[in-house]
Amino acid sequence: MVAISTDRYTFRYDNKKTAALTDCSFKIMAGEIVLVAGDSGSGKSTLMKSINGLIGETVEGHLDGKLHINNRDMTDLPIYEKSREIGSVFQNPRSQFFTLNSTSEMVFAMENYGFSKGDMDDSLKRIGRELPIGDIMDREILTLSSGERQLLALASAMVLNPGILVFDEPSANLDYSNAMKLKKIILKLKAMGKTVIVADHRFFYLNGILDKVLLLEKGALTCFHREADFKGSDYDTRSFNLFNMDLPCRRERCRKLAEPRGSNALKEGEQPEDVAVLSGVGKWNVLNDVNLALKSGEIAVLVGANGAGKTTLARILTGSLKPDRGTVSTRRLPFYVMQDSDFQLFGTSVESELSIGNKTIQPSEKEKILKRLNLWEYRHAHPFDLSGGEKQRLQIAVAALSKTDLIILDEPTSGLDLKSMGRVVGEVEALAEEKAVLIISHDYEFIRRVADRIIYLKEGRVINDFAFDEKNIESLNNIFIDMEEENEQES
Amino acid sequence: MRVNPLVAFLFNMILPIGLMFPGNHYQHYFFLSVASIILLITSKLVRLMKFAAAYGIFFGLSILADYYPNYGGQFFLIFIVYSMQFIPCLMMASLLIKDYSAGEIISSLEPLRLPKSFVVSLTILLRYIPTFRREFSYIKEAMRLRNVPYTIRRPVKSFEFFLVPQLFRCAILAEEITSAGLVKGITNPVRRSSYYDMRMGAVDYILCLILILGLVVFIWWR
Repeated sequence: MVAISTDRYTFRYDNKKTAALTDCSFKIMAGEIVLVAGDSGSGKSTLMKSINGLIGETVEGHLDGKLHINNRDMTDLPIYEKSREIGSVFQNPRSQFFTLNSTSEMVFAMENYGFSKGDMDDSLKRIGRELPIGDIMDREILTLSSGERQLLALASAMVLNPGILVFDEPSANLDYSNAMKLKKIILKLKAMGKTVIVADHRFFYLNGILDKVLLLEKGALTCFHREADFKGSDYDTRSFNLFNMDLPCRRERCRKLAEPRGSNALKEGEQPEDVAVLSGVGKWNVLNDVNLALKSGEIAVLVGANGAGKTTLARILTGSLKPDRGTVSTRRLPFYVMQDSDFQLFGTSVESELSIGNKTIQPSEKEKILKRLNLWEYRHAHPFDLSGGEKQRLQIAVAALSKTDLIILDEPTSGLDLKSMGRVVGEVEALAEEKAVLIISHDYEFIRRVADRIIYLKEGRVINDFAFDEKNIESLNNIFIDMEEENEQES
Repeated sequence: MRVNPLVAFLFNMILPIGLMFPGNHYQHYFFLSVASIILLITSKLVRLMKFAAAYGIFFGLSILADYYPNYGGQFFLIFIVYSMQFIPCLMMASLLIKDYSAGEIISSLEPLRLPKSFVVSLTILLRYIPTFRREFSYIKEAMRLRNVPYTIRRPVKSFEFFLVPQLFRCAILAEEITSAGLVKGITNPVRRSSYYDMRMGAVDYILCLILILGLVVFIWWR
């Protein structure tokens, strides 16, 4: 049976001249697992919003063509009719919940459709048999881990027993182990007869389980009827096989450079300076006895499972938190680029953003950095009009111009496509010419490309800390496998 | 024990109506007492003490302003007195924001047959307030790290820098929360059910009766 089909489906946003989706025609059969792939701006989110019905409700534009769900024409149906057939799991764990209590969230949709209390209880029991929701019942959503929130989002999407489930970039806020857990859940959903559609930039966790791939490029759709066909296409699909990727490490690339670069370039026999030292640091029951020295010119990547204390450690370095035990010393206040850059944009234009908190900056310096980061054409634009990748580059521009000697980046590639991630690698390397960089990341490909040093945080301690090069790739892989095993044991 | 959210909504409708008919200073103490009793019977003792402390501060300021009318006291006295009038409203608003889920609030409003768009908008507003507090703390931290002033000595600049991210976050979150509600059928025109028992109980009816009778008495007895 055909679950979803489109016939020359085209959508153009009201304020845009070109269509986001152009003449898209495809069929998805019931019970298939389908990946929607494509770079940022290719139309993935537009397609997902078309399927789950948000196009027309919160998004205005011009629509042509047909969209059928379970052989029903969805084009003019109200969203509450579509939502009986389609469950949606959004990317952002912070705002995809309508209530703040987990049980309340799970029953919310059933209440909207007038279910009796008995039917709601039966539905919760049914979900409880299919998914491990026992530990997340009746809890405040803000206290849940990102993996638990993902589970709650899925459970909430399944209460109406829809035949189709739509995931919008589910791995953006998940670490490797939770992403692999998601793979098992998706396989379970397929076994239940559900049709699963996943839009994502990263698809390593879908390796070997895809029935179909829809590739979007500037709004035009290509349908691959087999995973193998997609892997054989021109699109970069190396990330299906994470641990076997052929990616040159940063140290290898730097060795090939003729001259050392930047003020951090060391003369022969010179040792890099410490820019931040943590000694015996403990905080709450999250961090215990952390000992760490961060050095100028180094790109250190801090890895660990969700809840290991990475962001807590970063906040201790910036002085936002005081350690309960131990000492922290930094030469200057570090510059911290938060995972969500929206909190850190204060200006009314890209150009004025660079002056905020840094009044001595010269116009020529601003022009140089904006041109280097391909933001010069947007210099008069409002920062909030930029795309995710552009906002990230703006934050990096602000960091580059800051007077600090340590920059901390928290998940800088979250939600970015491979091309944008590659640009971030180059920009971080440029930052390291003048400053020390500490990155918190669970993005394996990014870590492989950018790291000089890996710091593994587990059970509140640094249990592994090594210089990263091609000889140590296996050590990095072992860390990711260790995190996956730890996660499985906990569940 | 819990009171039905409708009691808190009714309170916050009746008090402003009562304020339109001044002339009896017992009116303010009546509303303050009812709000305090509601917080007491819902076991919100710590919260009641915090409001009592805030009220005490405003009361002290009103006495001070009254003693020094020629030093701007007259101007501030009006502001302080009106702020004190609305403290009972804030007490009831704290119940709605902190103690009820969005689903419970929507369910409690269901019997009133209000337009869905109004109920949904009101619920999103109440849902946003705890999120706003969290976002406020992230923005303050970001301002400190960027060396952007957030100090009472520079109120205009602080407000200007704070406003940009807050406004845009507000717009982004409103859309995300609305989308979250829409895909869960919030606009479904059928009569909404409730997992939790949101029926009005005897205590709820008694409190509503007290509020309505109180309003009538204080409008008539001026």
